[in-house]
Amino acid sequence: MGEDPEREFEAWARSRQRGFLRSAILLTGEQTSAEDLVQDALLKVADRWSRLRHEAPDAYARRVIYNGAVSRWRRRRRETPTAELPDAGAPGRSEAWLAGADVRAALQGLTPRQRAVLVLRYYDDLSEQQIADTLGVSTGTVKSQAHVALRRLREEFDVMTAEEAR
Amino acid sequence: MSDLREFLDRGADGATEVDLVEGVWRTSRRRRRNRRLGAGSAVAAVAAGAVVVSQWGGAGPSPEDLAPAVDTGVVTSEPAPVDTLAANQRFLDGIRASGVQFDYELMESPGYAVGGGLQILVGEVEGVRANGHHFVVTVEVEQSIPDVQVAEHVDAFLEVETLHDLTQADLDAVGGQVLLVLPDQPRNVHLTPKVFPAVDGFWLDVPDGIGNPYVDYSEMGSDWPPVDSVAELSGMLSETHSLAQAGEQVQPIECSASWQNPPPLNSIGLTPAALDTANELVRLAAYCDEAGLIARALADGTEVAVGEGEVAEQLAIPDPNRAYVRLEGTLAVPVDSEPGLHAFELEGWRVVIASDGRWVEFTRE
Repeated sequence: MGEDPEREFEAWARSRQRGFLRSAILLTGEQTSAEDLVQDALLKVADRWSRLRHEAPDAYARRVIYNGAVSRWRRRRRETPTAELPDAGAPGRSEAWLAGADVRAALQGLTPRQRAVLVLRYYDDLSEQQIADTLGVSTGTVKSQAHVALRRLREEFDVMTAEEAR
Repeated sequence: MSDLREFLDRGADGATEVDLVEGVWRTSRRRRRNRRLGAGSAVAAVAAGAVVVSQWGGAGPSPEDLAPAVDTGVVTSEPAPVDTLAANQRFLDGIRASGVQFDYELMESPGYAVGGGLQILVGEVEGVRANGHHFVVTVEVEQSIPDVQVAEHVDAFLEVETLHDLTQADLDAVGGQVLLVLPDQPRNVHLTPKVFPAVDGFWLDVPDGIGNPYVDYSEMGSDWPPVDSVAELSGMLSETHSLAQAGEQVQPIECSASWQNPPPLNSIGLTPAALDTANELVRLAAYCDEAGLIARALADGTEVAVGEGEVAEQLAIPDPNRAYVRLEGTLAVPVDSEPGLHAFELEGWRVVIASDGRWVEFTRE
């Protein structure tokens, strides 16, 4: 890494923002909240860049995003129970976005922890130990939550993991 | 059959490409500066006698700095927040007013709670309903202590002698974090929702702390450190359980003992004794609760402000290398100095010490 922390941070952040945003969308089911979560995570990483630049900024950012997603989920279910995701049918969205609405809705049917395990394991390709560290749970919980999440997903969709495909 | 990775990818396809980085560094720099400027007001609040969880004025993103990711042109209005804490208090008061005869044995210690064959569940209140001479509280389970697979929802029965006059609207407003202590472990996750006949403990967040319809937390005895929220209570019990599992002897967590000797200062603001105190404070922060730390500091004439966020958030920052216990490396070099004050920052921690030896700020972002 170079000498200028600002440039280092921005280079790191720009290389990660797209991946973080896509994961956050899967966690929240909508783009606006996902953007807020990622921007908040980037801000917190920036606050701690002097330490994190030498350690694990990605892991830290993922945990901030996950915790933020859970907090938003709690607030939302207390305040505004809605049958439809806020931007599910927003005008001007691409066909690809609209075509993924069933995926986002299916994920929203899981508990926050199941959703996080599923995204971290099968989308971000983290190991069970890395997920356990990120979520602050045991690897046993990661396994069980992944199992339950997959089972619930398969009640509606015919999907298989990469391991199963081999 | 489709690939799960591709399936998930489809859920994020078509997302609008946005720049989320623009302005982040500048905002972060401003936040750091504002925290330094804001320290005075936080200290004043603590000095007035309140136990303060400070909401730093500069902690939030500055709208003029952070570039909006997407300008939708739509002004969204936040719904009026439900005063959950007040509703929880009304609920507990209502049960107490119903004439329930307390037949509740206090748990002797955190060690007993996590090791006495009891099952602790932490989650969110999903609903409350009257059922005969009981209230049934449905909980969406988020955590189990010990960490075993349990049902996703449980129904806890709260015994009441006579039903009282709480309305359904009152019950609907009950919410937030809850901690249950169950006498029997739920073993079959497929029994959903599982109904338990009673609970050994039931804790809800209420104004200024936590509440239980059957007993005040403050009656729990000296082995229980003071806590101000269900999150703190569950965190403390989790920690107790982890220590027990690690084979370490679980000692009562004494957060209220006072520091006997404020740290002396040298020309740059710190001495080895002061560094020891810093490390001791940080070590305690890993095991103890905010209120206890604050009480301990206040008892010694020290003024402490705690940064924004829940204690679990502050202390569970991803820190695989336990970096927060290595304060001294940076504390030896002040980052800022104002007349009569010495400020030190490391890894999200900020410590400000006055020239007379008082710790005037101790925060974790």
